[in-house]
Amino acid sequence: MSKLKIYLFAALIISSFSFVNAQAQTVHTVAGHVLNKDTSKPLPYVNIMIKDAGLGTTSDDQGYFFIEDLTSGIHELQLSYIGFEDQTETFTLPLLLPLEFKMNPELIEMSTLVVTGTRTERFLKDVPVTTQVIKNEKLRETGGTDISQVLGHVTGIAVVENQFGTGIELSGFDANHVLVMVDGLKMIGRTNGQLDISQIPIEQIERIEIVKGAASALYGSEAMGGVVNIITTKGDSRLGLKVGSIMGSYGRLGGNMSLSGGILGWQSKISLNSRIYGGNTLNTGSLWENGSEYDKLNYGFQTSGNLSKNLTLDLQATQFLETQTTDLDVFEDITTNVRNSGRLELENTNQSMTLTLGLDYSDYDHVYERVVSSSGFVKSSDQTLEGLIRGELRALVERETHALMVGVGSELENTESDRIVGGEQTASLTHLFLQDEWSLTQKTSSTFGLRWDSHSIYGNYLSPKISFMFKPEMISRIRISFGQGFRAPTFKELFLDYTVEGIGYRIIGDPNLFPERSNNFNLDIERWHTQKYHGRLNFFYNRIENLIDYSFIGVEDNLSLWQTANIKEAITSGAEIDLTYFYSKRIEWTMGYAYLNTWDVDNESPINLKAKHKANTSLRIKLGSSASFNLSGQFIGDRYYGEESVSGTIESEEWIDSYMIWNSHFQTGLILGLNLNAGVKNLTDVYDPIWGPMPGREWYVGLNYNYENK
Amino acid sequence: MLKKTLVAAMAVFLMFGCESTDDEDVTEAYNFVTENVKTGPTVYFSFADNAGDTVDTGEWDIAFATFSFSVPINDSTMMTISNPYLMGALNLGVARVDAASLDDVIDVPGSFSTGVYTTIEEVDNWYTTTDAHIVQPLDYVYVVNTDDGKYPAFEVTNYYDDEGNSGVYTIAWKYLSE
Repeated sequence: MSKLKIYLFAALIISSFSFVNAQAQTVHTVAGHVLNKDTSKPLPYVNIMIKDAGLGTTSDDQGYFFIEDLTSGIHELQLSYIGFEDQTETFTLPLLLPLEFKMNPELIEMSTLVVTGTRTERFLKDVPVTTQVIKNEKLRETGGTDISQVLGHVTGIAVVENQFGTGIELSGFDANHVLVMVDGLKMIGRTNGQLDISQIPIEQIERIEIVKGAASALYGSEAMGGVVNIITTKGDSRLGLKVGSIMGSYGRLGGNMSLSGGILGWQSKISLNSRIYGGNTLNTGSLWENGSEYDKLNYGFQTSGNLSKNLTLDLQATQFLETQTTDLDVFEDITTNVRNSGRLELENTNQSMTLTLGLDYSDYDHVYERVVSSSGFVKSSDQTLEGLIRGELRALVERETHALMVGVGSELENTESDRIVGGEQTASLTHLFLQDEWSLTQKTSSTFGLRWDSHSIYGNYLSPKISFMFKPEMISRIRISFGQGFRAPTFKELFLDYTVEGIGYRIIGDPNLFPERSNNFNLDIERWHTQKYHGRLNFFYNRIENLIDYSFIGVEDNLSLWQTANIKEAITSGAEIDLTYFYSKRIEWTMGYAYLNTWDVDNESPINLKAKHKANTSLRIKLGSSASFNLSGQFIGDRYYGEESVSGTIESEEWIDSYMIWNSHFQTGLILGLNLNAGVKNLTDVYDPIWGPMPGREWYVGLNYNYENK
Repeated sequence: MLKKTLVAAMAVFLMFGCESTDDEDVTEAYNFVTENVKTGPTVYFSFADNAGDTVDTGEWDIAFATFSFSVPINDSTMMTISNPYLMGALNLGVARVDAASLDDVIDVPGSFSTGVYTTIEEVDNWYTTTDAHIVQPLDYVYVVNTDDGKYPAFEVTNYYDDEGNSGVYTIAWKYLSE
């Protein structure tokens, strides 16, 4: 096919290129070919515009394009393509030779499309709220065996790993104040307030978008400190197969497979991912295990296609199964988690409006069992079953200076647990939001958002946000935003009734709790050069009121009684600096530093376990055409820990020592589309069995195979 | 070649030979499991009988118990906390040996400490509690000098029954030869 096309192309150029139209004016057809400057491979779907003539097209699968009906003389042609530098070329008709353009890949990808900040597709450089993106290539090239390792190196993010899984902290906010979404949908299944993000396999991630600062004006509850949106890979009409495997220390074993292709014109994908970890023990004096043994399995199916010219449908279904075992010598703690989710999204686009209807369903079944190791007897067990059904309709109207979005939605949430009053609770929520992006001038835009939540338990809630963006020059941005965020009390905080006999306490919820509220201010300055550097400076201030905590209320039947209450107030503020520098196309250096100030207003102390100073650096070197080496370091400063007494005062205080971790990763292409990668995590073997990091030095080696039908 | 094989065979024979001589010296190992001493009375145990009694007859070596105490929660309220408690009889000689298993202890230690039973600190510190509030035996074996001049060695292997209830001691023990 390509050969035929080349002949045809050549024939066109040489023979039949100029015609005489009805007005007796000579018109020409211009033909061209667009290539990637680095690889000399053709670039499909490049946007080509000839502005003076008001004509445009896109390049085909092989990078070829034709534009007809051009008059003789000089024309200016503009090429634009995501991930490449915009290019402008002039040419004179008639042509003697076909045009060939070589586009320069952006080293700093500011034209990546992002969706989280505004719920519409925007280029990263044009999004009005502070957004950071970690792309799939970065995930792979830093050699992360799991998502936490990658996120831990992002400035301003702290990853916490404990018995509840892996959580993300942003701008000093705890993991339960950061909204975590997968493909724009809230993840359910928080254990003790924390979501285990490691449940999402790294191979299924297309990119991660991180929006800092309150985003409740768009997303409602939980989006107090910010939003982490994990965008998964989508199906493709071309046949593709990806197979990968990994093995490493502590019995780490993994395998993944994803098959994509067109089914009756629908772009589809199935994926399968399995991960096994043998667990680790750092404290030899105790048989208590620090890291649980686990077995995780993910399945997924996704397809999308056109129902009619303007109507597209996207369907997605995933399942996650997990067993975690912690060896406690006498006992074994076994946790089983099952997550099912399905979604349907219909999008109708016409000239005046884009309408999107989303329906989704998810459930999360969490079972915890304490089993006597010697006999297999189940000493205690506890199950939590959560379900969420949601529907939302959004309309986007884009005019010259305004992009107005209105959304309305409803959701039904249900929790079953022995630990909550009545064993089961249900709540409904209706929300309405609007957002207006207004281009005030060429260089200034403002975005205003407002969301109203009406909840069957905690009532009505209003969240506003306003932000401004200035473009002093093409390559710099200043963003200022002020917003309010909130976090609704969870079912467990409202209705908990849980007794721990062994330690002698009982915790109860309070059905009259109201949401926690935060006021957030954010200032962000960035400047870049697509072939050289990117720098970002961020300042933030958050004041959080009505924080929910446990309050001691007395003793009953020899059990100390605690109840949830809106009692705390906290302040977080800080500054972050991020720098990426390309020494050459092959050598990339990054560094980041985050300063964080936290203050617990009631205890007049810093907030527990927040590092005041955090820094990261990485060096990525491309060796040859398919090999690369990456060395990255992460510094976590001293962390404060204050133990509270029953009366709520600080009883004892300590500072946990700072530490620095270095990771290395190497990958290289082999024959037959195979790729080898290997690395050592935590090179200097730093660990702390109580406060982390854990589990010390680890190695891994993996092999991947990638087939894509061109 | 033949010579080498013969030497190896002899070496193996000798090794087995040594072991069988040792076997004659090592006494039988016993297990003893108490009733639940948290919900029930203290168990007084005698090595000579390999049996426990819930009555203090004075003819016992070690006693298994839980010790309950009250702590103030606030100015007006107290709360009861129970901890495991292992006692030696009056003037019983006790020596603590760092060993992961009873099998690792063969020789009688050179010195024993004695005291009023509640003050034999070594015995009372046989366990630790993990983050999950589970009582876990430490890697200690205790050697006791009993009234009849014998040296039983014991280790607490568990504090829980098969259903995971705390307060049920299991010990493994054996006599050491002098």
